[in-house]
Amino acid sequence: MWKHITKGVLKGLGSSIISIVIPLWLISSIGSYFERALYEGFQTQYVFTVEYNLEAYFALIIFLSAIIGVLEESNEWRILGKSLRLGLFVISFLLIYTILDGGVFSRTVVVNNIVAEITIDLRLILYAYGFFIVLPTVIATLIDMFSITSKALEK
Amino acid sequence: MKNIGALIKFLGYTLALLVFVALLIEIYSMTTDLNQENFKAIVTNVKCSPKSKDLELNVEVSYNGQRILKDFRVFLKLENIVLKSNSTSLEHNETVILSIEVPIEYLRKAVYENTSLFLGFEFSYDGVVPLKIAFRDLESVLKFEIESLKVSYFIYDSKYNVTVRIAIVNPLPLEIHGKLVFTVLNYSKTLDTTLVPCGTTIINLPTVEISKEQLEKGVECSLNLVVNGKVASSRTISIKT
Repeated sequence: MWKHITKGVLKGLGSSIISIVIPLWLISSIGSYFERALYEGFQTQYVFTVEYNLEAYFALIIFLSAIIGVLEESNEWRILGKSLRLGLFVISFLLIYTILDGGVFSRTVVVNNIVAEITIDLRLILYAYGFFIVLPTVIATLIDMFSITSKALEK
Repeated sequence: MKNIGALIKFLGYTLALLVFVALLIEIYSMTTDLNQENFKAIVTNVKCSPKSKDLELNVEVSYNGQRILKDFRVFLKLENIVLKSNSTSLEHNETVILSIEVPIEYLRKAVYENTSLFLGFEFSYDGVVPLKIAFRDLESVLKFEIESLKVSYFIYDSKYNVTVRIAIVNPLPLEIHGKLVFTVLNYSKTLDTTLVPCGTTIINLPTVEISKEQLEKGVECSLNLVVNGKVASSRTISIKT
């Protein structure tokens, strides 16, 4: 039993880290990098309009993913585990999309007493994440679920 | 079936990695351009014609970086209204002049309703990352300049009667109604002023009596043009014999 639990937890952790945490950390890092560049480039005070607290969301996602991983390892709860993973994945994407203002980073800076508004559109990264990570994972999970259900019906 | 799912995931993740890496390179290059101030937009000419219903702003834009800036436009933002120029592509060491036509109604709104004015530019960096930068410095370009033309002195019993003639330049195709607050020593006077569109209005300020000693030391004469309750322009003139 402990072997199953450990395997499930590790699988859940790995899955959430590869498909949710790393890409989203990368996206928010690009946003922060852009902000730092503004600060250094304009040599001025800058105002954060959004304070990111992604760590708390990441911790919650990893924790839920580990529990879902355990469910996926169990023969009885496998389908429920897969469904929950699908839900977690889609919710995570929507949550991060909202936190990151839909990928449009807008900041107000003051340069030599002149107010400047700077906006960078990084929606392309979120679209790439949606199309190349979220969508294939959803399709792969659905295929997996279909395969498990078919096998169960055959028996 | 399971292998197909894994293959779809693998392909998706590989493509995502490629896109992320490509975007990282683009953003790194763009921030380098920002740090080196490779993008520039300067208002070079304001074409004002009293009979025209528009004000034409010519903005010189230049790029000294190594990439291509696609769909480069300059824009003027008056709260929610955005007026844009035609778009162009800018390459390395290229300078282009873009024009924006500002309708007279929007100018009236900016002057009389204290609407914030932002002048900016937007482009798509290498056609991949859209960036928009707007500065609130248009007020310095479209401000009413106060110039001192002539100071006349008339000696009267060890005191001087001083008259100052000034000129106020109105860069807008609008007749501007405001108040000119003239302060010198303890004397202050408010004059109703009408500025001619796209032109210079000459105003003779009221004559003030100043003692010889004070004039020898130098007297500061302050002028504030108030339009719609807001100081639109200020100037201090030093009077000395």
